Amino acid sequence: MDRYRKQRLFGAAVRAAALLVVGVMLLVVSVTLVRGGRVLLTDPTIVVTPPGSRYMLEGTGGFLHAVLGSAFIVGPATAISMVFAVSTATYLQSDYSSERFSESVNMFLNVLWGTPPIVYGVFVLTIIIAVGAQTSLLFGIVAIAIFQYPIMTRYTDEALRAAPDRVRESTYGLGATRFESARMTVRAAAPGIIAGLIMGFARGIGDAATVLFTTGRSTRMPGGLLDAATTLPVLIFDQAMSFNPEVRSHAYAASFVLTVVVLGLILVSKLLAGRYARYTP
Amino acid sequence: MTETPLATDTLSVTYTGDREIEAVKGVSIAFPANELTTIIGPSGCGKSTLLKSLNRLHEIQQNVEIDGDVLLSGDSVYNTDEPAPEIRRQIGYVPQTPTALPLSIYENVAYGLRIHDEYESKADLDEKVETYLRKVNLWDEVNDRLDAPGAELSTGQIQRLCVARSLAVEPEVLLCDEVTSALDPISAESVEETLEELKSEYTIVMVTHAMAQARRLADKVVFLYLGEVVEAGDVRSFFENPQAERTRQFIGGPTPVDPEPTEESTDERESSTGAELAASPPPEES
Repeated sequence: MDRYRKQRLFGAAVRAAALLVVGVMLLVVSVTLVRGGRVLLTDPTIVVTPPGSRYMLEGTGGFLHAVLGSAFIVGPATAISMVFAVSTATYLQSDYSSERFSESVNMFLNVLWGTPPIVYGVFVLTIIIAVGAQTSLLFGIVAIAIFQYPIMTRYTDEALRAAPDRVRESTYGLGATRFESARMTVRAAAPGIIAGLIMGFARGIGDAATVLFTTGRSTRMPGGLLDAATTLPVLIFDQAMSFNPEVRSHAYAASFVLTVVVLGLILVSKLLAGRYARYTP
Repeated sequence: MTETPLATDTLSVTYTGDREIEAVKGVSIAFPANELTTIIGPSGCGKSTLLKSLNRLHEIQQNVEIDGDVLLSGDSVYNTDEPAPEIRRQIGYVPQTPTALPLSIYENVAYGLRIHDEYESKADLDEKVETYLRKVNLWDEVNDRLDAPGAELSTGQIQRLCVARSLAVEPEVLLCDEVTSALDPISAESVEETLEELKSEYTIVMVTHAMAQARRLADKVVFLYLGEVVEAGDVRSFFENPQAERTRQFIGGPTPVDPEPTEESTDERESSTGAELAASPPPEES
C-alpha cells in the first residue's frame, strides 16, 4: 500500500473512532438532559422541595434532601481532601522528600486511584461497625474524602512537578524559606491544582458506591452531621429501580441536576485556570 | 585597596549523585567591592556551581557536598548559625532564565520586601517598588500596568524585573547567572546597560560565557576551567596580557577541548545570543 493511502486510511479510522465516542457521549447526555429537562420543565420545584412522607413510593414532594446531602457531603469532603492533597503533594517534591520515596508514594496513590470506590465504602462501613456508630452524613464525608484524596494528590503532584523549577530557585534566591517557596510553587501550579480540585469534586459528587452504605440512604431531610442522609447518585440508583414511573422520572431530573452541576464546575475551573495561567511563567 | 565584601576560601563543591563529580576544586578568590567580576569559562566548567555556592543556593538540590568556606564581609557563610535564607537575602541571585513569579509586576518587586518584612506602610512599599523599578530602567515601561501579570512582559523586561526584585531586598552582593544568555541582542543590551549602571553601587558577580560581554562590563575576570581558577585579574591585563597558556587559548581561539561534563552542564544552555556574542570580535575599548 502506498504511504499516502496508509495515511488516509489511518486518518479515517481515527476520525471514525472519535465520532463513535462523541456520538455515544452525546446520546447519553442528551437522553438525560431531554428526559430530565422535560420533568424539570413540568415541575421545577421538585429540586427545592423536601420529600413527602411517601416520596420513594409515590413521588410526592421533591428531592431537596439529596441535593443538600450531596452538597453537605461533597463540599466538606473536597475541602478536607484538598488540604491533605496539597500538603502531601508539596511533601513529595524534592525539597522535602527523596525522589525514590515520592516515586513509591505515587505508585501507591495510583493504586488507590484505581481502587473501586465500593471498597472505600466497605472500609468506612467496617469503621462504622467497629466504633458502633450509625451511617450518617459524617461517614459519607469521610468515605468521599478518602475516595477523592488519591485523585487530587496525583493531580496536584503532577501540577507541582510541571511548575518551573526556576520559580523555586528564584524564591530561594530572594531568601525565601522552604514554606514560602512551596507557597509560590503552589501558586505557579494553580491552574493544574484547580483542575485537580474540580476533578476530585466532580468524581466525588458523581459517586454512589462510596456513600451507598455509609450515609444511610435516608428519605428525609438531613438534620445534622450524625443524621442519616442520601446523595443524588444514591437517590438516582434507588429511584431508577422503582416500579412507579413518577418516581423513575425523578431519577432523570436528578441526573439532569447532577450533569449540569458537573458541567458548570468544569466551566468554572476552565475560567479560573485561565485567569491563573496568565500569571504562570 | 577596597574592602572585599565577598571571598571564597578553598571552596570545593562535589556532586555526590550516581557519579561523584568535583565541580569546583579548592577555589580561593576575592570579589572586590562595587566592582563587577565576571566568571568565564567553557560550558560545564563549574561557573554556575561556583556562583550558586556563594549564597548556598545549591543547597536546594540534593546530593551536593561542600568543603571550604565563603566569607561575606569576613563572616563565614557556611559555618554559621544564621539560617540560609538570611544569607541569601544578603547575597542576591538573578537566574539565567528570566522568571517572573506568578504575581503582578508590582508584587514581583514587593515579594522580597514582604517576606523579609522590610517595609513600614503601603506607601513605603509603593515607594520602594518604584525606586527599584527605576533602578533597572523599567519604571517608565510598566508604571501604567503595575497590576498586570509579570509573566506578560517581554523576556528582556522580565530579566530586568528579576534584577529589580533581587535589589529590593537590599543585598550586599548580587550574583548574576548568565543573565543575558536567554535574551535577544536588544534585550541583552538593555540588561547590560542596567548592570553597567548598578556596578558602582553594588558588588556584582556575573557568570558569562560571552567573552565580549566580559570585556564590556567587567572590572575583574576570573577564568575557570574544570572547576579550577586558571587565571584571575583585572579585565585589561586579563585580555591584553594573559599569563596562562590556557587563558590565551580560551580568549584567543576556539574553545579548548571539551571538559568533562558535570551535572551542572544540563542546566547550562548554550544560546545563540551567547555564542554570537562570544564569537563576535571584541569591541574597541574606550
